Amino acid sequence: MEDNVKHLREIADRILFNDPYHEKEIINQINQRVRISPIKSKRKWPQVIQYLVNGSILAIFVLAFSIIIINKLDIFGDEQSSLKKNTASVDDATIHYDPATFKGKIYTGLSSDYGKERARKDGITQDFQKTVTSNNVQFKIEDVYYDGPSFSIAYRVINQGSEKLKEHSFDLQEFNRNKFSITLNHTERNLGYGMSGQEKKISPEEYQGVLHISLEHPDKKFTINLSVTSLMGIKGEWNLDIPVSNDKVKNSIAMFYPNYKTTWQDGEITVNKVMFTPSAIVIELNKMVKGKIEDVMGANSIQYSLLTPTPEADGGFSSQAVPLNDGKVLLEDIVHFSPKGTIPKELTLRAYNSKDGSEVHRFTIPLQDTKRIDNELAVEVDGKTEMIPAKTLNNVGIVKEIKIPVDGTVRNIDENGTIHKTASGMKNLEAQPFIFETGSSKMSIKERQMVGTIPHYLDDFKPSEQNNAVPVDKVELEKYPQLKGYDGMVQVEGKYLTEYYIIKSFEKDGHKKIREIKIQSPTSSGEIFLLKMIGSLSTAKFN
Amino acid sequence: MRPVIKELNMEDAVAKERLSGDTKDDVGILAEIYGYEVYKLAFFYLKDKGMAEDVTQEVFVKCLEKLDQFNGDIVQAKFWLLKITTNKCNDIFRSLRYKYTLLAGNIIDSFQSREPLQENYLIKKYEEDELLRKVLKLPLKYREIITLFYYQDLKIEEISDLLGINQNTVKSRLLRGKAKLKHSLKGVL
Repeated sequence: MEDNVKHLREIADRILFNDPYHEKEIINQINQRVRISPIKSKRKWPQVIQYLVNGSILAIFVLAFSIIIINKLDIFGDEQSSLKKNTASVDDATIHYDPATFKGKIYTGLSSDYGKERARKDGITQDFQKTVTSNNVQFKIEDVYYDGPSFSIAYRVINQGSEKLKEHSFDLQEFNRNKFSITLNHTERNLGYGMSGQEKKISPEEYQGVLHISLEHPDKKFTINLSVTSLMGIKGEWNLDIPVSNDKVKNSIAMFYPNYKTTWQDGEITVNKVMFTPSAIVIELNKMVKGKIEDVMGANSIQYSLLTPTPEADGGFSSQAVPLNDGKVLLEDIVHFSPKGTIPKELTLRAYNSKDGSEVHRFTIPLQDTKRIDNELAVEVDGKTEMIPAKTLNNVGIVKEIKIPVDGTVRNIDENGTIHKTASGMKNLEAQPFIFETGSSKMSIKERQMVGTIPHYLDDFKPSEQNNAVPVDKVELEKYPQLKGYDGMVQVEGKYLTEYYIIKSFEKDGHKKIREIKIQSPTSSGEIFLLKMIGSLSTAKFN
Repeated sequence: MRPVIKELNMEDAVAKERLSGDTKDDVGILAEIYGYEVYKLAFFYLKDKGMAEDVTQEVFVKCLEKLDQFNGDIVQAKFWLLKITTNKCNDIFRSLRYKYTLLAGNIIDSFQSREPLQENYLIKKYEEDELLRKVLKLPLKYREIITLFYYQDLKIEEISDLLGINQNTVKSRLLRGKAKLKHSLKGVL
């Protein structure tokens, strides 16, 4: 194996890449694409003037666009008056926060969006400061803001040495000039790819900036470890641990699960979650569309504008596409809009094709009758932990009966499923042998080491690792009569854990779906936490 | 500490000789020399021909945008392009994730071998096929290290610099990746 892997290049080139026509095609594609791409012109004006000009142009554009939107609504006179009527607050879920309690130092004029600008002005940032000096260059963290969807770090770089900062538009993420890495709770999760930021020059030897980081599995509390080895061409070591918490804003976060559906373009948009934070309104929705992923993403993707309570063009947008077996794609979108201060009784959105906006669909999400959910369960869906209302877990149980011995006690799970509120239990996963047993047959799973809390558990099964193919084993499942009727079992190896999914395919509304039940080791309290993932495996192959 | 690639290979030497100073032409020359290398690395990440082709194009568009900041050191050109490629591929995994369960076997079957099938060649071909399948089935964090070390022939410190992780992590993942490969290939090799 050692000898063969050393020849990996030769082997791969011979088997996978031995096509000179394809190679030429790749180069032609690149050249065509480069030919039609514009070259960005270099800034010739001084930095400050350039920022002022850009800011003014942007402000004029936003103002003009807002006026156009408002005027368009005026065409539908009745609609606008009805929209105004629906902006009343929901009394029992109004966001409250006391600006006097907090201090904020994130720089003005450096926010990437209105929401964070608002957070700065309202003073709901963490007031965390720390300075590290290396090679006569100070790297100062001046503030941190976090509320779940939004995570920003404000910093300042001050050079006090004789070596000068490189004359360049400063960008903390720039590969050639700056070297840094970010990890989470000192685990090797490099967060360096999900970032954006702004910066401005105060003087030739002083810059300030804001770094915005998108986190895959945000917790309520964690520590960001920032490690910088080069700033503006000057080498050094700047290491900081930044404690992050949503303590100051958690009472100002409201979540709704409307489970609202609307039909459009031969498919259905489902609004799963609406979250109000001091910095944003976050809406999670999904839509089934026809076609291949490459046809429905990018220029052809669906985007959303907010019409009520206050019109707003598209906010931040992230999308995930799951190909399905029947020639369709499930689009899972998260859309951000700026905060409104109070929670309206409903939100009206407009969905449209981003390519040309030719197809438009307007829909209103009711919130008034959707109560703010306190009684929630932590459920893992598609590899990330979500808090969902307990009531939506009705009829989760598909398994007829599984007997699992725990410390000599056999627990029965009936056909309706047993759902345990294991918020505390899930925090103390322990190493225990996990045994499937029925009658005379017994399958003993190797003892697994399960360490730490949920963040560690989530770290074990990062979504990127779950892209690997896993075989579906039908033979093993046949040993358990109570699982008769299920299509197979999938074993997924993580860093510390081994997970087992029992899957069953079924038809719903003409679409083939696969329902998965994930089995994991018992919690410390002996409860079994059954998780249900309704989703799809696009090309599951049955042995 | 940023590594310096001191040896100038033939591709880099040709690139140095041919760069004209015109941005799009220069990118075209880099594409001609390194375009397929970028595609091959993207393929190891994404395991999908179409996506790898898209990423390859985007890498060179990024190259066009950032060429003036590149500092013109031709020796670093390939490393720089590989860095952009890994970033782009990880962007896909993070913000626009495709949940495929492609089996490595399907990928290899779709590429027709141009080697004549001789009887005494079959065993070796089978072993090599299996190795490639298992490499492509590795979890991403091991697959990328194995690919960068054995396929791209980068050193530990270069991989550490490219991926933004420390050298011990690179070594540890390389060892674990090889152990996983060895375990999964037991009985085959």
